[in-house]
Amino acid sequence: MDMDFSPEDLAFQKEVRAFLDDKLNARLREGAANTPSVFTEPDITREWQAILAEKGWLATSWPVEDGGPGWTPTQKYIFEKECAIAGAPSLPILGLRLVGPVICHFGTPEQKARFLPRIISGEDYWCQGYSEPGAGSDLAAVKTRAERVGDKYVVNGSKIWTTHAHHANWIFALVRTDPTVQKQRGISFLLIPMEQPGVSVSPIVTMANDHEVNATFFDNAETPADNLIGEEGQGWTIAKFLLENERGGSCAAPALLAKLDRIERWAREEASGTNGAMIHDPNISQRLARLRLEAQAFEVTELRILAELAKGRPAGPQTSLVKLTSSNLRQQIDELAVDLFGYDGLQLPVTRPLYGNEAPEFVGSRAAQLSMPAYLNGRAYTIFGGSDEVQKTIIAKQVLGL
Amino acid sequence: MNFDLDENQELFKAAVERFCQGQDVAARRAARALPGGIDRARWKELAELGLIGLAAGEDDGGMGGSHGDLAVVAQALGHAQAVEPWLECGFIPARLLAGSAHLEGVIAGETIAAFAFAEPGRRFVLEASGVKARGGKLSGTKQFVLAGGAADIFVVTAEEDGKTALYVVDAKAPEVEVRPYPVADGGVAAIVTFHDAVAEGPLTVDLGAVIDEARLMAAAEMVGIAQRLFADTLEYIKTREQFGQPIGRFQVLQHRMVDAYARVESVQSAILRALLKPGAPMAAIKAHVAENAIWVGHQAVQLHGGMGMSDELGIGHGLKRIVLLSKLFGDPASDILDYARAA
Repeated sequence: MDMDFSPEDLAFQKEVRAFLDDKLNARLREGAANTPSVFTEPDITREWQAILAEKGWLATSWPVEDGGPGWTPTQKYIFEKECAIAGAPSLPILGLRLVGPVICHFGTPEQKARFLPRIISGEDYWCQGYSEPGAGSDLAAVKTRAERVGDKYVVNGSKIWTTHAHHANWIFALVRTDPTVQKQRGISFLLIPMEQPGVSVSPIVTMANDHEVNATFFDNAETPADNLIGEEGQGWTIAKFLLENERGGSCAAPALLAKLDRIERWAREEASGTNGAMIHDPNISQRLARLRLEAQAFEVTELRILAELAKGRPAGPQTSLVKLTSSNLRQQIDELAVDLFGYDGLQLPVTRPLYGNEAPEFVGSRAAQLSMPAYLNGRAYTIFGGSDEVQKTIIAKQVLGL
Repeated sequence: MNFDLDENQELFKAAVERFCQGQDVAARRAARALPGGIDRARWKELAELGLIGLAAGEDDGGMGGSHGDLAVVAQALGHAQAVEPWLECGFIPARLLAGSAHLEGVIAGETIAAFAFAEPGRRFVLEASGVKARGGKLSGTKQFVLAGGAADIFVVTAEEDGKTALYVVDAKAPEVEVRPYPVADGGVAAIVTFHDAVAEGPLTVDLGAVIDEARLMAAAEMVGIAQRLFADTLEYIKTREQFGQPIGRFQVLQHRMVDAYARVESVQSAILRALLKPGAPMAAIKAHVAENAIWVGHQAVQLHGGMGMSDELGIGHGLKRIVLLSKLFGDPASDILDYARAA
């Protein structure tokens, strides 16, 4: 038993480090470090995406024939880990990690040829139309209707929490094509262009004062029938594939540990109290220590999953814990950052972005200014992508057999 | 033994409820968008109801309300999610300015007074050191001056002869520099720098006693908000349907709400103990209230799902006000540590 990477993997790690060191310029680093929300804005991600695309390291979860780099699960893990440690910007995952793999797996050759290159080039920016006002945790209750009329679908209804819909020119949506059958079986997976009169997007500002999500409305919106993925009624299966594909390998712990390292640095250098630097405050230092121990253990849980995948075996049941553990850890880490800064942690900027020339003035330090927006935005970690309650029910049933 | 509100307290509570009627998210946002984040007409209305004067002694032209009376007002304002900074610009200045000529304007709602006590890099320390009083003039910088962007006068803690003294400074004086910035509850705080600004004082009030009273009022407001978030969440899970039934039918949510209920009852009792038990430790009680109120706030967001994250609902507003109050004059961790050391 050992926890070491092979010499080949270590060589790859070295290559990735050198690449990141060379390509991550100050603007990208600043943009990534000062983004308190889950998604990074396109002004930053587009530049990073182009750099990765040129290297062929962008669509890491796609098959080689569709433009993936052909990495092993370990190489994918190493790449993500090094990106997290280096502070690289997050990528527009809705295209690259969600709809991309779906098109690779279920798409026709024509659909692949049409959509995949434009995801890689950044020409298409995707958003996801899953949740609806009446279908949140109960996703199978989606009502948005798509009716086949000749060689197109006509779509009516609304989607909510559509992340970055205000930047997107395409949406992949779960739509109801057959209202007469059992609810999961009447759902289809449809690609719909956003730039048309029948689609409108209305912003939803969160309590963190950020605009990531929207409500998206379809009023006789149209999409060619060729934009159906798979067959009518296959939408639920595809949605599950998408989720499972996401749950394959994961690499959340390195980013959490990197955040804890940053908090420790802030506690030494940027936050002080009655006894000098806040690292000497017993409450702060103990919480930091506890969170570090948990994040380190979580890192090994992820490596255990990786080891199975690397041997070509299916990932174990630990996979189900990844989202639950990482989102709860994240929230505790964000709370710690707020508490670290005392009154400075209570500032909540109204405008975005918090980087570049437009950034609002901060009080105390820039890290302090980020802490409240990150904490408030991060309350959504235990809600989106299947709430904690939904995750636990799934684990209880499918893993524990209850 | 009797825990009922008395007749006057029922009247104060009803006055707050009437004052806040119809103050929905849109109305609150409109008030916050005004210069300094305060609707001065509404502020005057609040004063005319006697709710600021309640905090001033009868000798000073106030109504001399008891701690119990005042806590009822704070809790009712919390429950109604009022944006008016009653604690920051009403209660605290009314206490600090006892015997001062400025009090009349504060009680009348004509003068907005903000308390400048926090200094950069000094966390929750209340002893002044960065702002100094020398020959009747102040110099130095304060921050986290709540409602500082709207203030007509500042009540300022300043170091003088190695002690902390209180002075009053005209906010519009040329020697006073005010840099407003937004804070978590939607209010506007300020960094305030004094450049040899002429100051009146020192005031003779017992600062420590006023801070303890303010902690009690902050705790009472948090109790009101927590009760409101609990009630709104209970209503929501009874009506929100998923999987063909109200989500309140799911046992996991039922148990979570019972835990929230237990915490809401605990903080209500804690406030009553603070009011009725002489010498109760206010900072520690505030810490207990804060930790439980934050937990209730987090659950309120979680159980509302995406809607709980939205600024369109009062849920997030409640959580953010709790978070801000939880750190006013010390955060739960530091207050509990102090309490443990004192015990």
